[in-house]
Amino acid sequence: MNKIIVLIVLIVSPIMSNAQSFFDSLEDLNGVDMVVVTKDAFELISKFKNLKIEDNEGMKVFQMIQDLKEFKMFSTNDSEVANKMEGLVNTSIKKENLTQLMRIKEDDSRVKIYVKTSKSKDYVSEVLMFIKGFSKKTNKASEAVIVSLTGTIDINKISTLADTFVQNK
Amino acid sequence: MICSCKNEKTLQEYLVESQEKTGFIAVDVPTSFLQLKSEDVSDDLKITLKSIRKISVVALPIKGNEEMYDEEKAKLKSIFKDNDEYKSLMTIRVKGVHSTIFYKGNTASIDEAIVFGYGKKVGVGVARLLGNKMNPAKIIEMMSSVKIDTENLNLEQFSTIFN
Repeated sequence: MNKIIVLIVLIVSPIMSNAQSFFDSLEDLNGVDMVVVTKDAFELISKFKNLKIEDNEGMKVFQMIQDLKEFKMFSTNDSEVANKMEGLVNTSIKKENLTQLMRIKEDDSRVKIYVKTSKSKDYVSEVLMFIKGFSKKTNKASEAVIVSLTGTIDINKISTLADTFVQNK
Repeated sequence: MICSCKNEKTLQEYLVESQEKTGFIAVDVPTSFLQLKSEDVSDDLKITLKSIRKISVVALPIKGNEEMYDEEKAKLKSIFKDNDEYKSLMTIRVKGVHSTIFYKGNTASIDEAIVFGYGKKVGVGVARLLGNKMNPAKIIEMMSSVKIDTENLNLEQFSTIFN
């Protein structure tokens, strides 16, 4: 009897921890650079508002999304890892029931933006952005960037944010 | 997972312990290296300066310490993981070097700021800025009116870290 219980626990526990977030598996992936900014950092930054940071692009983004809980960004230049990341994003989209907000296709890049809708029409609780870059020589994915935002996000301002990222690329 | 509850160790204990171990580089910087450009400043600013107490750095360079690296990394990780007092501000990983910034207190009054970093090619290290109700907005404001007293700051200590 005891053995069966232990067995069940052993089988279930990895599933449970997997359900947590697909980001955790990304964090352990070799060849992935990442940046994670927490709510506390946003609070800190908002306290510096009276300083002269108005002209800074990044700061504009921060001010736009003050009710943010967490910002995560993962990027890679390895095509194999890029494909793996795409797979993870796709599974997560299905599992979390994310809605597609927009899709941009350009010569050498694809941008997909997904959101998790909340009760109010203007706000979403999660934004997931996936950017894939192609190298022109091999026509294969050469780099990938995942950006995730959680918190109370004004949907009307996401497009502005997306523009900033596309321009930076 | 099972023994995680027994491994309670504070960062303070870790810093003190590591300072004496071989292989580690330890640097303590008193904040007296920060000096006001002139005495002619508001009391508010003087209080802010006093709120910063000291900076301690403990680092284990990877050269010659490969076996210790994993152990020390795990030790530090568990210190931050099981402690709710340390709140993470941000984590950055670039080219295999992982660093996290933590703080203790709240966003208007910080008691400790910590940078914890590790990487297979560089080693592992932790830096702690100890203070007393530091107000980050005021510190930034203050920075324009302080000068760094290089005589008091032993730069040689730092250079050993990067060699």
